[in-house]
Amino acid sequence: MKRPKKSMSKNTRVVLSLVGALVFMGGLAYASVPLYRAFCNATGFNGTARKAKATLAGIHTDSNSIVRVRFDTNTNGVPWSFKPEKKYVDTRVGKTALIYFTVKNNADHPITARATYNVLPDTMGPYFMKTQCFCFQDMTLQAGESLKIPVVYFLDPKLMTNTDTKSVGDVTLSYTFFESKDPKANAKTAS
Amino acid sequence: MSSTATSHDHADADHDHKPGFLDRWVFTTNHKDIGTLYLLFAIFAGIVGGAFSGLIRWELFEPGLQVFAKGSMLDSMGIFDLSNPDHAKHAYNSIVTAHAVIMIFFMVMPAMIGGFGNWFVPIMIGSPDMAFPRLNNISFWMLIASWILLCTSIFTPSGPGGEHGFAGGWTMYPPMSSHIGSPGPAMDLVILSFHLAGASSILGAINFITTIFNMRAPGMTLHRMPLFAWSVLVTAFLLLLSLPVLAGAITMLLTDRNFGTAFFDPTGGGDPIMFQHLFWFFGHPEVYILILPGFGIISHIVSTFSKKPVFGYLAMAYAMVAIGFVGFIVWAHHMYTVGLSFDLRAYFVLATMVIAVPTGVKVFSWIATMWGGSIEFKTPMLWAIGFIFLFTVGGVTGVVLSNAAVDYSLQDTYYVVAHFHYVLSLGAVFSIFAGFYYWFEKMYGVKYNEFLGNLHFWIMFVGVNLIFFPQHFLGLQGMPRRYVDYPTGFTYWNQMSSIGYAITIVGVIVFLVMFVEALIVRRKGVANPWGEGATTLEWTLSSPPPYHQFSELPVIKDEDEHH
Repeated sequence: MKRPKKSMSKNTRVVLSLVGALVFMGGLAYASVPLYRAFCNATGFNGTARKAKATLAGIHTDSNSIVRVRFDTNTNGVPWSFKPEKKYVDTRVGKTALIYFTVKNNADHPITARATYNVLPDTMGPYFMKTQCFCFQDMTLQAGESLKIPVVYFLDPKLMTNTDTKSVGDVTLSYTFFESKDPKANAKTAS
Repeated sequence: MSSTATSHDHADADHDHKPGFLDRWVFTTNHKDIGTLYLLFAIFAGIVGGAFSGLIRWELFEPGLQVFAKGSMLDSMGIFDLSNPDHAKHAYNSIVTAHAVIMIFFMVMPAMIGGFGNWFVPIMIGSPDMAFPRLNNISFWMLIASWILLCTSIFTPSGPGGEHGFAGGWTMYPPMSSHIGSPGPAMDLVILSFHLAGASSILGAINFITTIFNMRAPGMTLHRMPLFAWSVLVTAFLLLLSLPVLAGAITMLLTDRNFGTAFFDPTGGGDPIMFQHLFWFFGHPEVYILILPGFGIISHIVSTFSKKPVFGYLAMAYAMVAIGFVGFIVWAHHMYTVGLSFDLRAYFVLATMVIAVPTGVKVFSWIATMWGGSIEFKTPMLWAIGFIFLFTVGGVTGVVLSNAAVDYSLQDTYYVVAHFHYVLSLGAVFSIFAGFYYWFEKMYGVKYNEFLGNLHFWIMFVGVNLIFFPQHFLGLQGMPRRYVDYPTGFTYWNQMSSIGYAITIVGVIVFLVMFVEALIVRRKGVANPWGEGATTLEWTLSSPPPYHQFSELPVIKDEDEHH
């Protein structure tokens, strides 16, 4: 009805700040993707094995505990054979260990795939440190090509101070190769 | 438009001038007419959603597959695709999903926020209309478009075997909702439907906040504002802050499904649990969005029929603000079993239990308002007391479920179903009916039949309690949600529950009879049928209010007690 003229700008001001809140919250939803990943990497939440920046330097290695680290390899939708060099490695907590995986493309054309990994039990995630690994990167193998991939890891001795993890004698590092999501890589596969 | 434009020159002098049918109901910018549209739509959607729950209770009346099966009575109606057992079971779950979505987005929200909010917030704060009347109109029609998309999705291929309708529940967790679980287009339609419903609610929320901040009558300070307006203000903020997160999450789902992204797909480095975090960051405030306006309505009714001002007005207002705030930091109590660490679970248990404090403030304040009052048990008051009782029952089971350790065994059982139906189906819906009877005469200018209103209340009260109370037992015995069948041991209480549904149908029929009776008999309403207890501004206007009210703004003084 008879609204004073200045109420128009008052309304605009309120609406602009509300739209600002809207955009901020929508942005936060998308920002949660890198935030969530950073959070998982920082805390090992949800069984995310952590990628250590340095080797063991600075972490003491005087633990006598041995943890059996099992390796689990899977492929999903790619005709690759994928095997660890050994089924398991008895690893001294705090000592660096090395394991090779062999992956071979059995198809008659090049295929691009990508590996994901997880550590079980989840609680061991924060203590499973990898210094060298293959994961979340597209990897292309030519027809019949095979490749040996190293993974260097160690178990952080801090796991001995956590009641949830200090009595865990077995931990499984599981890898799965999936067909690459990159449409360009798939197109190459098709041709 | 032009015909009304010319007549508008003299129309302002005559408050009751109304435009023609198309201009009045389709292009309307009048907050009362839009409120009426929302209310009628909510009643319609409530009947559809209620019919869907009837299919659920019909199927669960006995163990085995009777209704969602080939050759059943439902199959002979030919509405749903029951051509083989897999399709039939899928149809059951898609009905469960549609029931939830309809009741939340197309029944409770339109009734409370779109309906009563539009009708009474401007009047209660002494404003001629909403701040953005055209935005108000588009909010309503976007909701209709959203409804059409959702209904289309029920009859659209979804599952891997070509089953119809999305069946992954209103929570839409991937991989159930990703291209693995639901490769068909039904899920895309659901996502677009949510986008539209969300946009509609966000525009509505912006409109309400601007109206309440900028258009209050002189002297109507925030601390003199009626509690219903407070409840809608808090609700609008919850909508504004939570819905964009849902929109983001379902947009990621949409691109995961159609454009090769991998936000929630572990094969590309994504994480399906992240969807649950995003969803519940929206989903938990959403359940407060559904109940908070009800809190406001109940405060008015309890005060009116006790003929006393609301006990602890400021505490009541800030309790709602506190509930709204805490509602944003408890979301993971819906996800205790996804593998949260011990410390996180401890935090979410504690934060969840804290909500019981402001909620307790509200419940005790309602009781204190009644205490020593001259209480009149008119129909709205019956619904309000029913609300307080049933909402408290639901709140108590909520505190039980907030314990992560207990939730490990009760999650996804009928105990949870009983809990949220006590707070929503019995809580929110009772407050809607309470508001409907409270404002019936004000909105339509005619009196409802007090006997039919009472009868409606008592039948519904018995019916819904018989539906949902036995579900506590079923849940404690371990009956899981969202299954089309159950072991024979669960038969007894399931039958009780289904009988309760039949009683509730009778209650709904009495409601419709009450509505039609009042419209036929047309007992002329008065400005204030409730007497001295009704102090808010809507009772100072005629019933129904003039088409444009407050051409001279009311001036509010503290002693007026318009709250």
